[in-house]
Amino acid sequence: MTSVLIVDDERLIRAGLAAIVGAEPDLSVAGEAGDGAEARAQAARLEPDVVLMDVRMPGVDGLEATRRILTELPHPPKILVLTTFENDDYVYDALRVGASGFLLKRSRPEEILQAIRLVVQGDILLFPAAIRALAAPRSAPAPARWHADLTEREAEVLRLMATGLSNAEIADRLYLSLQTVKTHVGNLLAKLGARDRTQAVIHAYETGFIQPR
Amino acid sequence: MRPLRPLFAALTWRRWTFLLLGGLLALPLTIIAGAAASASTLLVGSEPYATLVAFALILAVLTGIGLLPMVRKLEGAIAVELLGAPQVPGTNPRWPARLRASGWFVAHLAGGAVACGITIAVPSLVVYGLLFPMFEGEVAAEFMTNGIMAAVRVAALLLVPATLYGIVLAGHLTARAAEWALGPSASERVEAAERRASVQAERTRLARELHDSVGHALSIVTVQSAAAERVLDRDPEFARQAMKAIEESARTALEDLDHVLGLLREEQTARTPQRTLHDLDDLLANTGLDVSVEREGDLARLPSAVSREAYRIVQEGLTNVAKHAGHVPVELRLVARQGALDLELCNPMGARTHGRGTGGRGLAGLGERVEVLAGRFSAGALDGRWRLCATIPLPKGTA
Repeated sequence: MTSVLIVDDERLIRAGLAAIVGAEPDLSVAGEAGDGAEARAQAARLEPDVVLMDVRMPGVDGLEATRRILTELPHPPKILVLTTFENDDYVYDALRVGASGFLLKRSRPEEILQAIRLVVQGDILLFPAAIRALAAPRSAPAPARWHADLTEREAEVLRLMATGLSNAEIADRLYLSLQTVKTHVGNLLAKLGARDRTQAVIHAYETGFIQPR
Repeated sequence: MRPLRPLFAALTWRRWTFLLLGGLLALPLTIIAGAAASASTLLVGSEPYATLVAFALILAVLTGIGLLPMVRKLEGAIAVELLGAPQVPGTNPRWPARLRASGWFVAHLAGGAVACGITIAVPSLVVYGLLFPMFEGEVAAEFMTNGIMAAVRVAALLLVPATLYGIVLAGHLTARAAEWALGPSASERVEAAERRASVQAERTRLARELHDSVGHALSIVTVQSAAAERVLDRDPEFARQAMKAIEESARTALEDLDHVLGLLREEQTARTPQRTLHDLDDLLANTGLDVSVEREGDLARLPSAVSREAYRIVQEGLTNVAKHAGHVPVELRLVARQGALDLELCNPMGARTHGRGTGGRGLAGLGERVEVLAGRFSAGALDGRWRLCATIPLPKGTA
């Protein structure tokens, strides 16, 4: 059972998302919060698996709440950022500080549920195309040096990760065992100091290790 | 062949045509000048003196013609078309700009006369030089060495490229000068830049307004209807409430859309001139609100940017009063003091409260724009009264 905390300053959005999530047999609504400060408190108290976090809120906004939850909690949940519009700098910043992905509020319910389930599994990058588009204007023109300490295999895995392949698909592609791929992923995340695939891929785009275009 | 390219450029020859036109305009004047010179010979007597008087007279007349707004407009239009400069003819009605335009007109005619002269003289000079000497005995025989004849022919041949590149250069310089003489003055350029900036700021504001209002409402509509559809059988009560919420959100969105589209239409029909505090009385007369105004200092001499902003603050403030407090008495205070303009708008809160609506966003927009002018802005409730304050600093030497 995956528990979900829903954060949005608009009550009607919270209620709608709660109804959508609550109707699923494998998901449950842990609670709701109307701003970032409350979100941080609820996340600590309810220990949800996933937080759906609106970025733009009065007071403590979603960006700051994401940062606090990820750095201050011992076992932080996965965070999916909610946004009205795609090209929102806040969203990108939230991904940089460690949100695992983002959801448009206009997404279909199936997409929202799918995203929640995938982010719990954590072995696939959510919306690779959208992340590439967000990262494109901020990317460095030439590969930087940071990837030097990745092995060639790890770099290859990172590149495939950025295209949105799951661990199993990467294993297939590279003729490796799933376990080996998982080890590579774990190692490269550790080397990059990345919380998850999203952060690693954004980092790769920003430093120019992967060219978004 | 790069060096040859300007010779075949249409622009080069359009520019030359521009100069020739000046010469054509000068032609009748030259005839009149000749007549005037002979007339003043009769009056003044001595010939060189008379020519000078005639010349001065013509110059004065030309300068006068050049000062006519019509002539400036015409010169501007022709210059834009034929010279490719200035990009936009200036329209500053102040004297320095008009004098520049007048000087330009005189120079155009003078330069045009020279250009016409060159156009007529150079071909004949070249032919003459190549056939030199045309007639026996034209030059004393002792000078007629082969060397001299060759030199004259080379010179005649060199005259062709020299004239052609001279034409290119003259066109280039004329276009440069047109930019200075007919183009917008520094203050006009500043104003244009200011206008562009304010259009940009307005667009940003509208984009944000659409984002906040319509985007917000449609998000609610999407999420609520998706949820209602999913739980319809299990939780009809939720579905019913969702329908209600959807209806209200959609209605709000339409209202906001109406508002923003209204602003866009308004911008199109009444782009210029922008209103300032000069138009304050009209505004107050049209609000239908009971506004008591207190004015201090010389409001008429405020810089236009400040005056414009103050007008918009008052406008937005009064709109909010009408929207949120209804028909209540309003106190408006405008103080132009040393270094700053203070603006204060007060009203009792009324039955409806200042909530989160278009009003709040409008206020946020005002705050941002005041900030751009390095001022301070605040709005809020105090003791049952709504108070909106703005202080906009003035540049040194005004008010």
